[in-house]
Amino acid sequence: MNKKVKILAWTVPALLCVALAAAVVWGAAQKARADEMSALSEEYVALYVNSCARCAQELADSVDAMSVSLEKLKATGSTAGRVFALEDIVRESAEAEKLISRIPQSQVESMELAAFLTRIGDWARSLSRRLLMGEAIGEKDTAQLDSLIASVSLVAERFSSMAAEGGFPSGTEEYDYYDVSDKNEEGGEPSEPEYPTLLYDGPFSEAVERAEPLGVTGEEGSEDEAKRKAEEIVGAPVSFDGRTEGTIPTYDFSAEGADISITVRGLNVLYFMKTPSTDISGIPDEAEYEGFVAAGEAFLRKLGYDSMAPSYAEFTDGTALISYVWKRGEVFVYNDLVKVRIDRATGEPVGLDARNYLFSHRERTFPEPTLSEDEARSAVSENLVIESSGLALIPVTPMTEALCYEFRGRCGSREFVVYVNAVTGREERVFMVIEDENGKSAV
Amino acid sequence: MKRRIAAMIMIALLVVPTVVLAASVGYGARGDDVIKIQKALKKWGYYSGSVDGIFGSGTLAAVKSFQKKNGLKADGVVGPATAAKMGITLSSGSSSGTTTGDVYLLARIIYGEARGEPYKGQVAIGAVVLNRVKSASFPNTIAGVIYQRGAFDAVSDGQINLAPDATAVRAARDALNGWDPTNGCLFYYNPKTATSRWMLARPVLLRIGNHAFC
Repeated sequence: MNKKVKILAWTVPALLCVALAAAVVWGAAQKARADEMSALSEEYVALYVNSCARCAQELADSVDAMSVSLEKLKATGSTAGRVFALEDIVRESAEAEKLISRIPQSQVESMELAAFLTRIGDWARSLSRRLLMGEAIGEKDTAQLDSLIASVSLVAERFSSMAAEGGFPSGTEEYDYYDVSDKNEEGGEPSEPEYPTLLYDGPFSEAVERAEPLGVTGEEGSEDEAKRKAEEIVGAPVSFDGRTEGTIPTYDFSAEGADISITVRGLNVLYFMKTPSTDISGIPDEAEYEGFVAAGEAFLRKLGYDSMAPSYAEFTDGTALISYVWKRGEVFVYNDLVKVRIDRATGEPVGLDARNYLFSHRERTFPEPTLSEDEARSAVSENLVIESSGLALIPVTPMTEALCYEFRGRCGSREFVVYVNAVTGREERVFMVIEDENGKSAV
Repeated sequence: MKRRIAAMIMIALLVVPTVVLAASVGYGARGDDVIKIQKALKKWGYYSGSVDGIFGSGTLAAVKSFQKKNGLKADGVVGPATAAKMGITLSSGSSSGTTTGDVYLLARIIYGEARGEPYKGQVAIGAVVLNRVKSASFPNTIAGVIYQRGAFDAVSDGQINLAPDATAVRAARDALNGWDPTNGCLFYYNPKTATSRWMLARPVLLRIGNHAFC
């Protein structure tokens, strides 16, 4: 036999054996890994199913507790007692709201219930604030409370039996977030509201959801007029992208790196946003900042905003974003806010957001201050070292404003702004000013 | 079916909150601070990689060589001393830490859902998230809205965990600053792929790129 063939005769099977052994080892490793993964999967499924069960039980419990707190509120005679009960309701509502969004079910179906649970807490916070400000509980509040007690106890009962009988989804079912049963299919909202409407003034109230843009006035303008205005501001030819409907209908235009929306009524700029030419960051020096403020003011005058004063500024993405508020005489009107963005390299305006202004600006009657500034000063905490002061009309709830003395000062190393009602002498709001590398903002 | 759930839960467990609270930034960190560091290093010529907000090995090497050149301890961790030499301030450790986290989380959902869309369409995704936060019918936090099960495809399929680009971060910041191109919309869908009859029956307020907003 040829020597070569001889070598091949034993090397080929040997190589095959080695390959086979390797395959067996590899296969065993794969098998072990798969087993491990499947054990892990089962563990995770159990973990998830258990967490869903926990959510369901806690949801039932929190709505049940809320039902009890509402009944107690009705039976309580003192303001202190009522405020305590309302505090419990606020907490239970927050808990229920958080849990209902974690139940694995179509959220579109439960939207109305989620809103109702959120609003109960919002309503309770608003009532509690009114009681603390010295208001008495009125007939309307009692009627509202009665309807709440009735519908919350129904929800509580339904949830309790669902929790007991395993009626909540376990987490293993497949479901679609945007799925709805047949009754809700057409046009989104079901026709008969299942839960009572809560009339109050708070951030989640229906009144806020339905708020009309008070500053959008004047005649409807044409697309052509809007386009001319858009081109004047963008400084280049723009193309029409379509109309946006909704609370403030607009004509939308765009050019390379720029977007602009012009209101159909009154032809005001709602938004303007252009890509800045630079990415300079960090807080500018005083002289540079003054230049940006002047550029912003000139831009606003060009758009017809006459009496605007700068308040806060932020410096990000190559721009200075300056908030201007409407100033009537000596009074800053914080709700009537327009934000202007200035390119830090060119000093040109590259952005504008007038949404707040267009929602709130209107003819107002300003109350006369009945307190002197010194009298108001006595309402401010003695821990605050006051550095400056002025007058401002501020939002005290989403739907109401109050004329206040504004006191800026320091408490330790922190900067604060405190608002004292110029008519009642009440301390209305306290803001802490946060300063970071992007500028200042109040929280 | 079971496997699908398992995969989903594993993804959920892998999502680590991105709020960096320590006053120093090192390997593995993500976020605006890392973007700042990368930009500074790039400006000084130490870093040639992409400014992606992820502190990876490229950033680590660049930080070390920056520290060596500037007489600092070359530990690859950007603390207050290294940051000062770079001419930047770290937001971590200060009270704005949570804000940074919100910007980054919003940027990730924007990137996961709408990268490749026009800029306005990216801001619009951020605006829809924030409109939901403000609405009584949805969770009242950004994280609550984003991680609501089934609400966003990019969360279900894990694309939310991709590192966002600078455009998505800027779009997130614009949305947080109040820019709402959608005029208050709570939903959007891709007309080419959407199947929910409920959604398709809602009046569309506007279209941007591949998305219809309602």
